[in-house]
Order: sequence, then structure tokens, then C-alpha cells
Amino acid sequence: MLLGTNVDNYDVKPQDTEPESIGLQATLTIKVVDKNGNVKSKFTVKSHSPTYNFIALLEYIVGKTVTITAIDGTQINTHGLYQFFVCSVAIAVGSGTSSSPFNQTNLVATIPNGNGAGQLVYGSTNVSNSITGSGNALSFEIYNVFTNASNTTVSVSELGLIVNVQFVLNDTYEPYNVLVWYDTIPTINLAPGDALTVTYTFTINP
Amino acid sequence: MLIGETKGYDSDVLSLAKSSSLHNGLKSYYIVLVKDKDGRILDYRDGGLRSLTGYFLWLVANIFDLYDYGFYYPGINPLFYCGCNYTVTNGSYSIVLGSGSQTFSPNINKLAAPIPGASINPSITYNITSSGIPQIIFYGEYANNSSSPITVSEFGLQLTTKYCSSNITLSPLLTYDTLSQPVNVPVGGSISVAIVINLTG
Repeated sequence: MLLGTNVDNYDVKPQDTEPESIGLQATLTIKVVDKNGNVKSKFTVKSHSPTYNFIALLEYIVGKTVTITAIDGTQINTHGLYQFFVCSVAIAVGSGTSSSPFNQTNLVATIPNGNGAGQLVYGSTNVSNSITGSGNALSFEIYNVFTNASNTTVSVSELGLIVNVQFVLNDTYEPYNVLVWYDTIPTINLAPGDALTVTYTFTINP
Repeated sequence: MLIGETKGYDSDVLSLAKSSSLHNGLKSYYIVLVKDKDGRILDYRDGGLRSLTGYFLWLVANIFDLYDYGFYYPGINPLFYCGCNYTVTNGSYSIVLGSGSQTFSPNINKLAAPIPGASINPSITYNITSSGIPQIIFYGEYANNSSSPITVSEFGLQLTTKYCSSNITLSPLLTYDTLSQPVNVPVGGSISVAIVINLTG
């Protein structure tokens, strides 16, 4: 690019230093144990995507008007809404897949919480007590355990982070569940008695 | 944009941010564009963001409500607390400009030498690269309407908000970067900055 000229007409070449930071890194660690506690598989993959709702919440925090879509399809336009809060976070699992994770507003095929066929028993959400790491690399974790208490195999191929957001509408708190992070993973088949531990790790400056 | 045109600076820097050779890499990066009073380009920089601060991670932890699960980030309060009465209209993002430099650490919380009044109220947008990497882009322009040139050597993205709807202001610095060489913004000129953060590297 030539200086003192029209920006649109010239290729832009880097003048400054090479990139140093990848930004925010999210990874997924998947661990499956059988009913006796033996590890059947464990692997870590990159997590792929925040959803548009995540970006919208980052903007709404400073008062921007955005539209957030809850998992039930309800669209919440934040114009005039001056208060909200986030009440909980949960990892959800499903058996579908999506090729456009950023635009997802719910899992494609959520696996219900329960001990029947095609269901998994959802454990409680756990999080790191604090930021961990050393140097410039810092991280925290969110994890949960899902147990197949049924007599049939259950397949998991998608994951998501869902936050419960409450908006103040006419002095009334209106709760909505909102998908803020979504991933597809290689299909995992959970035999009866198997337990799946899903750990999201968010890191800066890895 | 034609030479000498006096509008569209913001979209210029956004266009550059999306067309940068860094666009399809795995890195977060910045664009800095300096123009004279007639809109001519005087200086252009781009490069990798040196670092997000720990407060960026703190912000993400707030979105995920980790504090209700016993999470603690040293030195700064959570956004959602005190009965969750968080008043969103109290907040803002800004790109702050300075003339100093300092060694990066994740706990850095202010510029070394902020230039008084030199702050950009950025537009925010998102982008998906052709590699499928989601990005959030903060971009905007600061016009030097003072009577003397300014020299910019450092910049950062700052969140300003209130804690618990109270009068306690939180102003964590979410990113901090220095330029390898300062840029000079003449009287009547402008500096546009885009901060492009990859959300999953």
C-alpha cells in the first residue's frame, strides 16, 4: 500500500511485527469411563465456536441494543431493557450436528436428562475456583458428567454451553435459557453404565 | 473511497481488518491507520495482538456466570453480584490511546501514559473467517482536534462499567498493545484502530 493514496486500490502488507496472540482459546476434553471406572477413551480437541448470542451478550453488557434468541426460539430485543443477570451455566449434550455453529440457538437434538432409553443423567455443573496458569497464559474450566443409566447405547455428537439469563421486563424477572457456545464432536457411543465427562477450558495467551 | 474524501474512515479500517493478510491466520491482530486532515493515508500498521489481559478472561467468566459456582478472580469484583442488579446502561467499551509503553503482564490495567481525551468509542461487529474462525472486531476513529500533533505508541481495549449498580466504577483493560514504532497524528488528522480478537484459536 502506498501512503498518501486511496486505501482501496492497493494491497496491504504488514509493516509491524508478526502476530503474537491467538486470542481466546477454547478446548474440549472428553473422557469416557465404564461402569467400573475404567477409562475407555480420553481426548482433547479444539472447541470451535461461540454463538451469536455470546457476541450479543458482550455488547449488551454495555447497553447496546441486540437481539438474543433463546433455545425455545423466543427472540428478546434488548431495547429499553436496562437490567439483566446471568443465573447459571450448564453443559448440554445432543445427538445432532450443525455446519453453522455460530448461528446455532439450540442443540440440534438435545439428549434429555433422565435414565430412560436415549437419555443421560446430567450431573451438576462444576467450574474452576479461580483463574489458573502461569506467565501470560491463564485459564478456567467448566465441566460436567453425563451418565448413561439406561439399558441402551446413547450417542453424543454435539455439545453446548447454555446460560440462564434473566431480563427485567416491567419490574418482572423473565428467565430465558440461551445457547452461547456450540460444538460438534466425533460421535461417542455411551454403553449402559458409561459416564461421559465434558470439560471446557478457556485460555488466553496459550 | 476517493482521495480527499472526508468520510468513511471507520469502514475503511473495518475493511482493512477483514482483508488483512492476517485475516486467515490463527492470530488476533490490530490495524492502525493514520490520515491527514484531507483523508490521505500517512501511516498504516498491522500486527498481532501481543496479548489479551486476564480481565478479558474475567469478562468471559462473567458471561458464563462462574461466580455463582464459587469462582474468584483476584483484584476485581464480578459484574453480576449483589442480587444481580446489574444496570447495563452504565457500560461502555473504548479504545484508549497512549504515548508510553510498558512490559505486558496479564494483570496490566491501564496504559503507561494515556493521552488525555484520546479515546475511541468503537463500533462492534463480528466476522467469520474463511477458515471458520469467529472474530469480534472493535473499531473506530479518533480525530485529533487539538492544536498540536499527538504521538501514539500504545493502545488498549477498555471496559467501563459499574459494579452492582453502585457508584463503584470498574474499568478493566481487556487488551494492551504497543506499536513497534509510534505513529504521529497531525493536527486535524485522525487515527483509526481496529482490534480483531479471535474467539477460538
